[in-house]
Amino acid sequence: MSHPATSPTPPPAATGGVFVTTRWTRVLAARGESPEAKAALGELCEAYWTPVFRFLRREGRDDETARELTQEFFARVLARDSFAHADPGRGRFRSFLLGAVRHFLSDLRDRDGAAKRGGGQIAETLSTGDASDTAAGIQIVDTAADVPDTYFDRQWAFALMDHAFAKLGEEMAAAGKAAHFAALKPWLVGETPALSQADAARSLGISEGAIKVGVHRLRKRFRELVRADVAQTVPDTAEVDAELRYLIEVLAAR
Amino acid sequence: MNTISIESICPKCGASIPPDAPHGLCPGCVLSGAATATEAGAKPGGRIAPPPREAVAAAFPQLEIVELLGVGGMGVVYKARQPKLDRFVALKLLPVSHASDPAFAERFQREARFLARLNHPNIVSVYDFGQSNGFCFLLLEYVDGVNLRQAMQAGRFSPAEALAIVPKICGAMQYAHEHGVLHRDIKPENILLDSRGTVKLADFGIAKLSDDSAGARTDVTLTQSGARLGTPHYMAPEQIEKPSEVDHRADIYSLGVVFYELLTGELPLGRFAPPSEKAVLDSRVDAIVMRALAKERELRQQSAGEVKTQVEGLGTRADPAPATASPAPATPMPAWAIRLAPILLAAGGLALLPAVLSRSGSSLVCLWGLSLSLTGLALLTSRPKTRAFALVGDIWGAGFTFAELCVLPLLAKSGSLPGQASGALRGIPGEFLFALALVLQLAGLVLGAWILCRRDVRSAFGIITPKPGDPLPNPWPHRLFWLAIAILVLPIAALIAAVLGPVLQHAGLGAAAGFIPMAASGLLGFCYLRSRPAMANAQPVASWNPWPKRIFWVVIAGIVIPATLLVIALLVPMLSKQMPSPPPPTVVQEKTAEAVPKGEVDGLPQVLPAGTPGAAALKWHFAWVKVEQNRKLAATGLLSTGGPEMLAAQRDLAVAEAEFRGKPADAAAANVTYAKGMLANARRSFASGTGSQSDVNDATLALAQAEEALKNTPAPAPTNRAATANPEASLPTAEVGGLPQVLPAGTPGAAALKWHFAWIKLEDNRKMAAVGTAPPGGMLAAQRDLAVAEAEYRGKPADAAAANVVYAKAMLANARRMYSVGTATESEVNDATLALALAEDALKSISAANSTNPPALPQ
Repeated sequence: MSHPATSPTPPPAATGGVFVTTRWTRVLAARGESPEAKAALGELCEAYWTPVFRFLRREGRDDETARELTQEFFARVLARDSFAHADPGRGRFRSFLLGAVRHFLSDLRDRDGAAKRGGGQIAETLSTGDASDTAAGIQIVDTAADVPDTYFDRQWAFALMDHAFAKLGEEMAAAGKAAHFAALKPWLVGETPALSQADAARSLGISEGAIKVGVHRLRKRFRELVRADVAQTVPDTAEVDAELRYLIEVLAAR
Repeated sequence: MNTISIESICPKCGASIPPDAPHGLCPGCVLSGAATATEAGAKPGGRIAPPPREAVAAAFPQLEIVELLGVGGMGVVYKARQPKLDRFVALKLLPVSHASDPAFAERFQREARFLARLNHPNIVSVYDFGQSNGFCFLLLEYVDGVNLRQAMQAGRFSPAEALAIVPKICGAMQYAHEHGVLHRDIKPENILLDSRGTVKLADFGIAKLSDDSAGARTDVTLTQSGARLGTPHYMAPEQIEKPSEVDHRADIYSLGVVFYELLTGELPLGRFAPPSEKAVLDSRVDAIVMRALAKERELRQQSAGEVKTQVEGLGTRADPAPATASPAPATPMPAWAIRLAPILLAAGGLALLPAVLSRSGSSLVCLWGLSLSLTGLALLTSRPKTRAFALVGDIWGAGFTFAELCVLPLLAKSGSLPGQASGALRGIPGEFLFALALVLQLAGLVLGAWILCRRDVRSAFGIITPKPGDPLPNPWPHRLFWLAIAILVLPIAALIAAVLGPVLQHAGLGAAAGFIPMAASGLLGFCYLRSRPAMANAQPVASWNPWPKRIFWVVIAGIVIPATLLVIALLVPMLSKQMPSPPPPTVVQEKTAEAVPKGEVDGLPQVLPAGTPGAAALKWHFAWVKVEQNRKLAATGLLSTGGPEMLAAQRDLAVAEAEFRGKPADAAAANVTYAKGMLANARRSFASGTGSQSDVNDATLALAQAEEALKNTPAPAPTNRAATANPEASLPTAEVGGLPQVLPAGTPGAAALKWHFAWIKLEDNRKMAAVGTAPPGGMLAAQRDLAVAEAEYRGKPADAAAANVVYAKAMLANARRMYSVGTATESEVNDATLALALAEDALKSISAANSTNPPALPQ
């Protein structure tokens, strides 16, 4: 898979409950079967490559290994029909991807474990990644459980924001306002007395009123971009707010 | 990539920002910011669904619909473009439900016409209105900016900004009211702010018309039916209770709410605190805001113009006045500086005192004193103009002192007299050095004034308050800060130099304490840099964090510079030699050089050796002078009247007179008197225990010997003064050139004395010339007198005449020079020419008479 490409144009903004087709909805609707759905899935996977990579790396692997594994994972996702596990009605792409990663890792462990044990031999029934098995068998430590779900979700949020930032930065640069972007970025966190608009006004050579206008527009656009991206990954645009709220919770909890 | 653990803190939530956070911003806050709505009133499931864009574009073919600006209770607003006029406009579409009602349409038209009347720079203009394809529309001026609500969300308004905006809104309101139009819905969402800072009042959509000329009051509401007019929080009480009796004062109430919100960020709900308690600002603002928020409309300002006048009357100062009860002092001068101020004032006064008492101090001392006092005053006063004045004076004083104390002494070895250049740089004319000093002083003054003329500097020094439109608000720009440091490092260096005072004294840089005014000005500058009035923005002092490092470098400079000066000062005396003053350049002088006395008698030059005629007279004269000196000393108490020196001087005088008169008996008598006096002294000392018995014995013996000698000399009574040519004149009566004249002309020795006196006068003139205070023609006259006196003494009238000629020639040359420069008249030149001619004639006639026998020259 190539490096993450620039994203295509976002769909029309969702307002007032109008249903808009997003990539994920397309994937879910077609259950990943149609070429259109596959293309959409491919785009989503490219966009969220980083969280998966970091998640895999977090378990203690080095960069190179993690990268290889990530490639392998995404290849699997795209090649096989992974949608037996996904509930099209409810799932968000993030949950889907996380589940797929965990599944992938457990398969990996099985493979490695089998190799260590001399491969080919039939192992005793052990409690592996099967969540339904609660029998008190031999407990193998599930190392993947050391990395919590929330870590993945955090990285997901970061990727989301990175993307929005990148897009916003491109737009501003294209409008010749790269300096504005750089100077006004800090106010994306909100209004705070610790930041001096006077300094920013001076550095850009504009009035403080213009700073306020610029900040307002930047935040508005950023919000639009973030919401658009989130909308791509939820089955229903009504869930955008819920997804955002969840991500904010994850970030706040650390 | 390893994370370098420099943890930064989010300025909004205070949590630490993880190293992998995007763009280094707190991810939680960024995402929260993205999740919250940026549009006021963009409530989920808003009351109005905007019509599809295609429908709008179709309804207005003459416009290009650019984007949806907002949705409110009164319709939808689009940004559009008029291609024909190539300008942007705002297209406001009213709720479609009303469009079909003809009565509504009529009212709408009437209202729109009234709105179109309003032509004011702070009111959004109406370009067009009407109905088109089922839409009731208003075509309005497009304002490229944000509304006040969005601006408040984007960044907190400083009181200064708020005070700048409110008068403009008042102006718009006043204008509208005068034209019979009420707004009735003044709120931040309806106040637009563009990027140039222009304020525009918009959304007169529910304006009430008081059309008295029609005789009827027409209520037009363009909101959806059933909706209250106005927005609850901003509505005046009477608007809620008695909507039909509302007048323009309801708008003033709404303005008050907006004002309050701008200043404090909160709404004035229930029992609310005055704005100055919630934000750092002048308490006078409170009165204006609280009055506008009065429940009874009679208590409010009665017109928007009145509010405007009140706000503008505050000036641009939104900062706490010095007398407010705010915890931080309004002009926070460091406390230690305030304690130092009276000391400086006192020191300045003391420095001036000697100058005042002796009525002659040097200008430098006066300047010190003045400079010190100025600094003390400036530290004490909180009045900005006084401070500014003191600062300029100080910088000038620093420049002056620096020039006088550092530059000139280095060039001219010591002292501050521009005319005296000695040492290795003797050749440099004094005028140049003086000019250099002046230039330095002037530079100091100009620099100080220039610094203070810069608006940004003055605001940093707290002399003025920056206005919102100022291009360079606080803090002080970087380069200028360093320039000021460079200027002020000299006084700070001087401060350290003053500590090394005694050493500098030794090195000849003399008044090291003169550095103190420079140090004082450095101190002043330092205090100013540290103290700035508390701006309402309350920008953190983080910008001063580099201070410790700068102070360190300043102190280093303060040590290095005086050390260097010290080294140079020590070297210069070693390199320069004391040159003797060159002799006056007249030929006459060289002739008399041999006859000039060589030895001294009791500090007085002796013109003639003993034995030559007139020596006795001179001796008498000298003895008299010495007695006079002793008498003067006795008068100051340094010498006792009956003491040994006094007695000896009187004895010498009596002896000299006796010798002159050829009366040895008198001399002996004088010796007896002296011996008696000495015996009395010895006895007294012995009685008081400070003298010994042998001293008394010696004195007794000396007395006996003196009486012996007296008995042996045949002489008339010592008190019988023989008649001389002029008995009264035997004691000095008159003075010649400040010296007592012992003998009238004609008596033997007078000529010698006259020569002596002339020589003394010439020496005096020479000394005065060296100091620079010689009278202009005095030197020549003194030389001429000396030459004449010598000639008379030697009996050579020709020489006297020759001297006169030389003198006359010189005077003529002077007169001619002065005439060419314009400081003398032609008649003066003529007089000098005549005098020269007379002198030459005299010389000729004497040479003709020709007494050429040289007298016996004394040795």
